Amino acid sequence: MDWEKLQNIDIRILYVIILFCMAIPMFKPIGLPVAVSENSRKVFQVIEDLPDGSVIWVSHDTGSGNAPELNPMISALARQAFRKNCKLVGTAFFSETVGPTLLYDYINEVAQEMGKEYGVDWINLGYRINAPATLKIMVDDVWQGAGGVDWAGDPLDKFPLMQQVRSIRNDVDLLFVTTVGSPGYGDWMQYVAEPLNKPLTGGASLTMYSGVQHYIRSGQLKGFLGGLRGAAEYEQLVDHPGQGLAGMDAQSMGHITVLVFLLLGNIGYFMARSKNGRQ
Amino acid sequence: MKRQLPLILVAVTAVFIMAMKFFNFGPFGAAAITEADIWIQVTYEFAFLLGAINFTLLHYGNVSRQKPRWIYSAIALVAMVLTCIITLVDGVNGEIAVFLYENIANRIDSAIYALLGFYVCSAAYRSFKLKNLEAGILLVSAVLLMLAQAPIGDAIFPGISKLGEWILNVPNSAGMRGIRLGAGIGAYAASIRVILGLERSWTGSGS
Repeated sequence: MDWEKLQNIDIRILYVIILFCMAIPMFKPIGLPVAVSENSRKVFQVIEDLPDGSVIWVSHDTGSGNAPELNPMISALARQAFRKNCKLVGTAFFSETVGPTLLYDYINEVAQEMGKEYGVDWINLGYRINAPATLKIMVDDVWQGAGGVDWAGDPLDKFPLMQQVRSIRNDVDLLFVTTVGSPGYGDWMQYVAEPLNKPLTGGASLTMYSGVQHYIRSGQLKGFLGGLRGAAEYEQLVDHPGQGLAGMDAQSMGHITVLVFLLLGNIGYFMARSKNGRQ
Repeated sequence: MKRQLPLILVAVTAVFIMAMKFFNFGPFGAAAITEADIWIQVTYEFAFLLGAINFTLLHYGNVSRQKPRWIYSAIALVAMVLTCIITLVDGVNGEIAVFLYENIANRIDSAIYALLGFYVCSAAYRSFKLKNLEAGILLVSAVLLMLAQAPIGDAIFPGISKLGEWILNVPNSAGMRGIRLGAGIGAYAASIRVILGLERSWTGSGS
């Protein structure tokens, strides 16, 4: 047998197999259970420990690349928050259109299902350029930081929720941030969470975990939802399966496919080496 | 003087900001830091403008000299100019501008990110070979983490997700801290060299 072939399978075959292995579970989920990590449990718990009716600041600082793994976190947060009659004030500091649009869509879907009203139970302040400068302003004056309008350009004075939320310092109880790097947790800690002693939690792509792990250990970041897996764990804790859990089956199949190919490549490598050695 | 001025400017600015940050100069210090923050943002905007100019010059050069694949440069230029015009006329939140951004820029962004998944798979298949101890450690860690991050891992090997958590929390964090410390010390050293005028490559005149 030509073992070299195992090391040099046409990459297009690999692509097609991965495509099918990941696409099929999307249409026909397997429904494998997801073990919940300590970090995800901490995120759930810090929100659960808030008094009913608290105000949660949610910033969806994402672009379109990471959105599929971060969006389910927003849905699950909205569900947990609305169950406790908490209010949500949303912003987006990364992408001008992606963050605010997705924030609106994902919270709105849950809000409509749970009978929550825009402007009363939640609001989307949209994208603001220059996160550090805006955050510094919003600490004492949310209205000024938002330019006096919400995402759609409607004046804030028409929304009952915004009569209650004047400053992050006095009117916000928890910060929930999804991030793709910059602005990141460092910015939120430096300008908001640490000076005001507000709990900060949220999620990001799992590749960012090693960059934020020290914040979790120090207690500055209350838990962490790592990528799609973190979103799926959070959905499980909130007891409402969504896109996160649905995506985990696809991820499982994708990982298994890669592992099979890794195995084939290594078998090919060793067999070819031992054959060459014998010759 | 043309070369000395940027060096002096950088050194003075750096020493001034460090002094304001590390020592308490009362209201003057606080106002100076706030002002410096604004200046930094203004500088960023200039950097953006510089990027646009550089982009235009580079691609215009490619098109005018009919370099290989100049057509892509032409498309890039047309896209930039059209987007600028539409956004200026229609407004940042204008219907057409938002439509273009959401349906072209965002979709391309998502597609490129999704393609990364395929590239990662093919790269792993081609390069993760058990050739030596280091490669073996990398391979085993990657396999464990891949299994740990997907529910199927726990289904095959119960408890592997806990092992995955441990790998992330302990060896991964240890390595990451080392890298961060190294990068931090490197950044300090580089900054001191810039302040002292020993590092001049950023002026375009070499060290």
